[in-house]
Amino acid sequence: MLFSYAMMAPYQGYERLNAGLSAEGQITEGEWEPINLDPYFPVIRGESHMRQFFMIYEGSGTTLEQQMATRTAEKLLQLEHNRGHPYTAIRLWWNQWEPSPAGYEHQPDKQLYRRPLITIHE
Amino acid sequence: MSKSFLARWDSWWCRTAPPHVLAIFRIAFGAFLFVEALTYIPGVPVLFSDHGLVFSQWSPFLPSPIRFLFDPPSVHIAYALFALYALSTLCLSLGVMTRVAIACLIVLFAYYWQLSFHMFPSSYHRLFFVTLLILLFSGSHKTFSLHMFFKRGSVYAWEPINILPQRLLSAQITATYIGVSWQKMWLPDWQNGKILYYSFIGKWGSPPAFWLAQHLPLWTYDWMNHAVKLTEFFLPFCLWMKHWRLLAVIVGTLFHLSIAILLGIWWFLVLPPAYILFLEPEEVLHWLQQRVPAIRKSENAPFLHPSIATSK
Repeated sequence: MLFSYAMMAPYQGYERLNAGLSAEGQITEGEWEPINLDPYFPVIRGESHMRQFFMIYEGSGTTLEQQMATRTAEKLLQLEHNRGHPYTAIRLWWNQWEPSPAGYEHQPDKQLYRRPLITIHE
Repeated sequence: MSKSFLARWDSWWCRTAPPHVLAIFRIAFGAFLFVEALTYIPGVPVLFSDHGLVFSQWSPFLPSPIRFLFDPPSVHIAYALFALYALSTLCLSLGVMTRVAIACLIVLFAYYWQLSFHMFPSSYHRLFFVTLLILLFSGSHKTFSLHMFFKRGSVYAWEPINILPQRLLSAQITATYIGVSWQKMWLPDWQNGKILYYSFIGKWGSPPAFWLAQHLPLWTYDWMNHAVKLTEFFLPFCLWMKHWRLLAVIVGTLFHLSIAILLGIWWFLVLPPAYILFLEPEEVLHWLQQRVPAIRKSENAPFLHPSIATSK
């Protein structure tokens, strides 16, 4: 039933805020640098952000969110090591910001809401 | 009266019919899946292998000895599987080893869903999956195919098939449009044009959509909202009505083109070619017979359109 209904139910609503995942890697004690996640999502922006959302929020509940975030961070740490970035820790953030007609990443009032998801160490 | 109705009902769903409508759809659908596959080729390592942020949905629930079948594979295996997928879409479109190709696509569709697309759950991928299931037993390869070329010496040769798969596909498309349109009557987000404005400047918004968002006054989004709802409401009915069908095809095509251009959601562009499923197969055969001599010479005379039979 759910499968059948899902074929009839595209685009039921919209999000009032833009949202996406961001990550930082620890270079040395206390020094962090942003990790470019774009290479991990070589698809159009809508699909990319849906993938980021479901990567963390596929289930529901705080415990599951923590599990998903931990899983993602551990995998990202391993992949970044393979790419020659020997981070000693990774931390993930879930960001939300006001949309603007000036552009998707445009944040006119610097209204970026950042929520820490997880920090994992090597 | 009752018997006549039942006979017509039975004929409408289950009569034997020419395969041309379904064959044309098969070609278009296979080509569409092939093009979609091409768009994913650069991303195979990070979307479908252990080189990416990819997590199997099924693996945690399976016995450990078989988990490796569902966990993200190495890059080389990922490329090999994807090559098989792309090859299968081509075989579907060309109508060669069609059922084997569709079976491969069904298995790989399920595999890619649990591997990667569960993080991008979309209505069109569900629609594609059901379409493949129906095509598996449809006989859509019985004309306009390499199968018929190897079997009968001509891609135009044809054999009759059961019309049920065509009816099921058109019924599913109808249900999809009805579901999408009727729920917009009460969905809170669809009661005004804000949903379109915020979609234009949201994650799905394309450069043309952002441009429109900068220039259109807000009241125009309310009108666009009405236009979307009216289009989706009337489309599934008009596609079945002979006198309204052409208008429905034009409006439906423009509708899906605008979604693709403004929101980048191009996967529903598979639907306009699928509108051919709403035509009667005998009418399409008649139209083709008038234009393609090789089809006119076909030996399946019982399926000549009544107007041709009369003129003889």
